Amino acid sequence: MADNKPGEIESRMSFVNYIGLAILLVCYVGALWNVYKIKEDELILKKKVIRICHWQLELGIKDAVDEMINGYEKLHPDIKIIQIPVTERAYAQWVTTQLIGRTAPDLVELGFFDVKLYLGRYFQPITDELRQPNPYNKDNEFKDTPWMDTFTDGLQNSYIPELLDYYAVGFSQFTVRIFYNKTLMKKILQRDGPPETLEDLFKDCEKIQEYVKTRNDEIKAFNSQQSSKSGLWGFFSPARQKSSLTVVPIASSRYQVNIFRFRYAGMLSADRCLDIDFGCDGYANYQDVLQAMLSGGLSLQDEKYKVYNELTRKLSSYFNPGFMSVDRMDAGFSFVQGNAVMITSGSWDASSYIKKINDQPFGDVIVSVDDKQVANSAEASARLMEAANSGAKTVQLQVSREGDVKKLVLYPVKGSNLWESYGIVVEDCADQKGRTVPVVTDLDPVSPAADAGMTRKRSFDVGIFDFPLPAKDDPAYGKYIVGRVVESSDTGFKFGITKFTERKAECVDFFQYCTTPENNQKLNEIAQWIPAVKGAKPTPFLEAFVPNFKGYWGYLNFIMGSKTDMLEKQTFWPYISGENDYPKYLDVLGGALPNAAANDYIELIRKARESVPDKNVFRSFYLAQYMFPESFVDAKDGNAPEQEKLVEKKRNEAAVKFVASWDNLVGFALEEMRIKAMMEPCFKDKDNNTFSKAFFSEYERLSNMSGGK
Amino acid sequence: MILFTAFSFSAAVAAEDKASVLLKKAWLEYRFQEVKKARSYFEEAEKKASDKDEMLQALTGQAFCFQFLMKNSVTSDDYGKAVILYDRCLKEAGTDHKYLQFWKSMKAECLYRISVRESDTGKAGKAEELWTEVQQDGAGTVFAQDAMLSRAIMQSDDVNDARVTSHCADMDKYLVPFRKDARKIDVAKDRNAMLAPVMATYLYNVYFFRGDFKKSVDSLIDYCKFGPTSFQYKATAYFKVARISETRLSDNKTAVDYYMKFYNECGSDSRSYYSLERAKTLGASGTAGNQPAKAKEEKR
Repeated sequence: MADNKPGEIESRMSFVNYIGLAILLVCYVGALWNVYKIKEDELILKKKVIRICHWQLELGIKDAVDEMINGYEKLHPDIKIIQIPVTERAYAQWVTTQLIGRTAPDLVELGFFDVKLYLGRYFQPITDELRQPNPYNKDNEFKDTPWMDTFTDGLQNSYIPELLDYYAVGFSQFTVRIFYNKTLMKKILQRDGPPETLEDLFKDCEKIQEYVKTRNDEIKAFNSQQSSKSGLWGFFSPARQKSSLTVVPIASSRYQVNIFRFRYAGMLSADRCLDIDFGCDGYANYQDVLQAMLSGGLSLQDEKYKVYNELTRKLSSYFNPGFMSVDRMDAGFSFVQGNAVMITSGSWDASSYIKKINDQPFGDVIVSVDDKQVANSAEASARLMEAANSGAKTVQLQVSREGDVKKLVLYPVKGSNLWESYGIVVEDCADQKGRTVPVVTDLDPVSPAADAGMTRKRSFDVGIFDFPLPAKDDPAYGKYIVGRVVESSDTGFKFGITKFTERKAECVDFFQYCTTPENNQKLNEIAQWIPAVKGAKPTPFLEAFVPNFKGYWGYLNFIMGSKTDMLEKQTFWPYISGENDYPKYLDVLGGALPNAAANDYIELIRKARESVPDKNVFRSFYLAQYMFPESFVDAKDGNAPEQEKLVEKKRNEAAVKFVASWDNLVGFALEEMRIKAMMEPCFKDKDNNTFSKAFFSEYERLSNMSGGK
Repeated sequence: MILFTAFSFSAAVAAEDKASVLLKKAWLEYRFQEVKKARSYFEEAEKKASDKDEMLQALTGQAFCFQFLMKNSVTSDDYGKAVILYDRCLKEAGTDHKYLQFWKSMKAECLYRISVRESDTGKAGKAEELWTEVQQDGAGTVFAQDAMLSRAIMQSDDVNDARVTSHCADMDKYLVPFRKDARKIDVAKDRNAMLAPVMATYLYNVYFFRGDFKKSVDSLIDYCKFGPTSFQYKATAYFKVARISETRLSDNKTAVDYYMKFYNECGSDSRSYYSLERAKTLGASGTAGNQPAKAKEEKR
């Protein structure tokens, strides 16, 4: 190896240094360019920039928002809207950091964080704007209607009583339903309609399990026959084996278990909430449950509780093995792959499911058999059987696969149908252009067709149905039915305007643009969600998701606060997974419930006390505005009479909100008194039942520890 | 040119520094519960105040920061500071200022809070004196109504307490003239009845939890007539009237009336279908043709 000449290493090193410097320079210029591109609209083109962030990474949502942005920017060339989608896993942290750092986008989707807390601190109310008509509705039936009344729910859930204002505008509505694979349903159950009653659903699930078992037994027998046929030779060349069928009736994860559980809990036990509703507001809240438990009006042995939990457990026997350890995305993936006949989820997943299902292979379309064109499945089957029965050794097939034409050579065997001769099922299906074509819809993995490399259709038709009610004469559940569960018409996909924005008017204007009936329909058509504005219609596919307003709300449970909630969850999952039976589940839950309830009761009183000062802040603020309205008028225009009017207007607004703040405050301020009054008879009869004995023993222990505070 | 620029700049700074501007900023920060910023603006405004009203507003703002914005971390010391600031307001305002009763009632509230924390009966007595003064000298004013309610809620730990009975009597008496025509309160005009709906809510709560369901329903009906302040509160009030009438008083007529009111005026609430069903069961006539008037729901 030749020695380096003096100075050669140094010169090589300095050359390398220059490369490093050049890379650094390129990166720097790149970064500058990036910053320039980001800031170009704002700083160079002097556009008003609005940033909007959300966590909706489902298919179509970004496109739907883009469609709105493009339309809006065309109307307002001086405005630039930047969409910032953020993954839901990091959304809360990201938004919190941005809000605290005062660098949050102008529009933020509300969720994943403590919405009520954040709204008061970081968001601007939009009550005044919502009370005025939406200017983009000037040419339709809503031209004189207050903007808020153009929403299907009147935006009633965007009003935050604690904050005395409306803070959000929602674009869509959501409900949950059961999706089902029509193709599999037809293949296994010989019908493509959904089950009509709960009993039918169970029967269908059993039939599906039976079908899978039968098929797997056949596969097992076939495989064992193959192994024995090959004998010793099989050691060198193993016989081809079929893999077993992995289809389950319902794809599920814990997420889906909760959907099923709460839905059926509502159908079967909503009336028990009214039985124990001490305050007569229609809801069984924490203190109602506790009061009922202490007074003996409710116990863990409640029949309805048993019935709906056992129902959920029965349903879970139709889920995929290991459903407890998969997440909702995995369950969805299993369904779109055709490994489950049903799955429950919300309308928010509909477009993603459909897209993923349609992205599955369409299967081989038979174009010709022995160079003779075929137009449909009957013709294709006839020609294939003709060839097989004629004793021909080979059959030439021309198939279209994902747009490419392929030539295949098949070696048929004698048989009475396509399955026996070729190992395929051919059916007429509509392709993407809507034409009916003969497609291979099923394929035997050990068959002449599989040997020739044929592929089967994996995409399928999807149906959607509401959770079936038990029939009235259902022997197990019929006598417990209360009715359907009412679905709230609350709007979702809600955005608020952050307090740091300098473009509140433009933000409101963009909201108004997005919530005309036409634009809201357009947005939701692309997103495949249900519109939230009156006059905007859902796509026919989503009609099954239209909320049901006729039904009942609430369900019986033993949650009295965070501790009992956690305990219930801890004991429920071992029960649902089959680890514990129902008596054991009740035993474990019942053993720890009084202690958890005592902790929750103390927490309830503490929270009732601590919630009051916050409400007093609003009272004081509006009282100040009522007294000093001149300090709350936005700008002085120099015109004294006009100024006086504005001041008077502010005073009147303050008066309305001052009363509202009191209406809110009095509810919270009397909470402790109400709870104590409710519990008073129970405190006088501590030994009323086993639960109350254990509860008061723990309560007294905790009270002594905290010195009675 | 330089002089012009310097003049414009100093004018802009002066405008920024005006007490009126500082007060606006202070209340804005107060709205977002930024206690330190709000207080420093109020303190600055006090120093720059150009007249008595601005100064009194700045002092009130500072007192509010101590009394209200400290929320759950408030101390007796904070209340004490607020009392000093209210005393300054009372002193500076003179004897005929329109907000005298307000400062007195706020001072009473602070003194009462201190008395509870420190078991100081002297301060409690002083607070009671001030409240009595406010009720006598400012009868019918917004501040007197506010004081009546704030005193009541602070002393309502036990539903059977004699003081609660006394507050109920005061409120019942106060509401008599407004109950006669039982109309919706217009806060812009009916200043003397501004907080009547809240008093009705207070009475409903006390009577209900004492087990006097008849009186509690009557108070809740008053509340419904005076005007609940939000859709949710209205819906819940209607539902409660119906449910209490049905389940505790066996008054099916009132129950049906309010179930139907609920169904017709609160159609988008999840309880609306149930309300219609109950009304039918209890014998509502002509229910079949009614449809939820979702679009006509009264909004705040």
